[in-house]
Amino acid sequence: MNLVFIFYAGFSLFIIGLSGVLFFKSITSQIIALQFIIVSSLVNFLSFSQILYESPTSIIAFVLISVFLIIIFQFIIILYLYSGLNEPQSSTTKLEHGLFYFGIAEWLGEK
Amino acid sequence: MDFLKTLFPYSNPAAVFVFLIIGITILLFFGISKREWIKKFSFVLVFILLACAFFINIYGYRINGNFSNSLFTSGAIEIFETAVILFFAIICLSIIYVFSRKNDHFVKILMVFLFLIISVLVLVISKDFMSFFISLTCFLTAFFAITTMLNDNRIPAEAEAPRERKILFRQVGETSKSVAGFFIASLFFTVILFFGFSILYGISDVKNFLALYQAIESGGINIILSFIIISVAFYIYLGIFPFQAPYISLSNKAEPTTVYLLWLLYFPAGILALLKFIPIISILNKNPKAGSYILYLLLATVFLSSAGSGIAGIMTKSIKKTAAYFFSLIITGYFINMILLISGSIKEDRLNWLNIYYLIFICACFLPVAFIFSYIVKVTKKDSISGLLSLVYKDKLIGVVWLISLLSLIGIPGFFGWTVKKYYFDAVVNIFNNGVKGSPGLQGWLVSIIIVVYFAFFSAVCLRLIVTVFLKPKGEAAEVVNLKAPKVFYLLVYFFAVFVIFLGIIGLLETLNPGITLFGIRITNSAIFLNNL
Repeated sequence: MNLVFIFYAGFSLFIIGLSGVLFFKSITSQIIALQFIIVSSLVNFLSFSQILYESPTSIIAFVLISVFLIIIFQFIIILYLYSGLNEPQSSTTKLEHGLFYFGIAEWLGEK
Repeated sequence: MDFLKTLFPYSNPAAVFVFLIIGITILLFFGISKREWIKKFSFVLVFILLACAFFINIYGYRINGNFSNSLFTSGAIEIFETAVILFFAIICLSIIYVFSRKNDHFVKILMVFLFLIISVLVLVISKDFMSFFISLTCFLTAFFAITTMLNDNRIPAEAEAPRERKILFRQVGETSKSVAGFFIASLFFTVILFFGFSILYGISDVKNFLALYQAIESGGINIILSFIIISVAFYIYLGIFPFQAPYISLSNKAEPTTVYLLWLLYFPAGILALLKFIPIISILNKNPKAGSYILYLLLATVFLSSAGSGIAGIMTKSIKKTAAYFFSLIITGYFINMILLISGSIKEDRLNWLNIYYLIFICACFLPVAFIFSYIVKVTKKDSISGLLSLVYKDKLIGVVWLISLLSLIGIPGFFGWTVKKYYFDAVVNIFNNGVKGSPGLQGWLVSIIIVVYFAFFSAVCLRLIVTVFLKPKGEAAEVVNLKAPKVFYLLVYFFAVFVIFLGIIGLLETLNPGITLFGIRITNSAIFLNNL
């Protein structure tokens, strides 16, 4: 398998994920877009460890624990949005603007 | 006693964690209790444990010296960072008790709070990517848990009127959205950092920071790609302009306790994580091309943050947003510290101490201002800068503390701020005369100009706040508000004011260097003083 091809595929997934997070307004869609970046990182870690380096055990442990923790973090955000902890559930899963929305009025504190 | 002596070799850094874990274990038995005495007992217990952890941290280092294994390292810098974090934790605990002791989840909040502190302390001593990343993710998860518990505004049953319920529903919905938006940004940071580590691993085959320093020269300039991705991640984490929206929104909508936790734990944790990369930056700086890239990147960051937060801090009429932007400007100081390193104005070991000074500077000078902000919002029940009008006439004592803190933040000699800011003044003058790394040119001019721009915006925000307290409200329609505060509040702000003046005088003596000795120790030289401690 060509490493350059794998790297480009991983980077494409990263770009898709990045665009999703920056342009979607729905929190659920943003979390789904983040999965693309996680998959892209996994592709990088596993391909580099298998093709370039000979001792992948420690890096696989790192990847497994890190992905587990990231998924736990995502899960509790989703739990917060959809459970009884957050009573007025309607419309809370959709932001008014994108995640890093920049407007002059918001920036200067008028809204 | 003999058993305790056998444990001494492990006291640095394990003893600190033992105290905090004991706290969590005891609180587990009272987790769901809502009784008032249990809340008081939990507060006192956690306070004592944090104080014990603070002292055992220093004592453990004195008897054991440095500690290092494959995952963690604990030397003098880590001990000071741990001490500062534990001091911040004690302040945060007091703030949680003052603002949120009526919260039903109080005991649970303290349990999660202790876990949060453990995560930050693990982050401080970690040297391996695995311990670094795991502690950072655990910290963010715990921070999310504590924020949601602090902002759990259930609709009260007595709010029967439909209009009242509708307004409450809207407010709760907006707070929830702000909390969710902020932590999606944190999650985004985590994922981008993970991606950055994957590229770094591919280029260098290293899994810890120490090995990375050695691998950089073989990795060459290709390693810059992974650092750019990691820098973008930290840029998002710190909410630097133009990515400030989630941070400002949370600061505006959340409970005051959450905002203090953000300032005293979330941002310092991010800064300490970022500082792990400093030795790598200093090695990269040996390559002129790589050094230039990093310098321009940092200059752009400082300029954007200074202009973005400075203009907004001057224009906004909201007290909460002023405080949030002001803090963002203060945090930008860390990037200036990095610029000083790259431009050769200070060495790496000096930078480490400067960064620790800067953390204490934030605590001593910004916290009194923040306390007064919170107090004004609470008393006037509105989030408007007009609440500060005539403050100095209404309560002269608070007015004096306000002026001391703000003048110190600007860097007036005689206050603590001068001790930190004199490095910046020296750097500007030095670069203006000799240029960057001894050769004057475009880089030297840019560094000088951008440090001056930062100072201009920073001083403008401070001066605006100073002038506001002297202005009188237009027209006599302004309502008379009794600003009499509780004694504890006065004690707290005076403590910080005295601290600022004391450290300011020590700093001034160090600059003037008159050679005053006390008990055989030359106190006017802080390096020798610390060494003798």
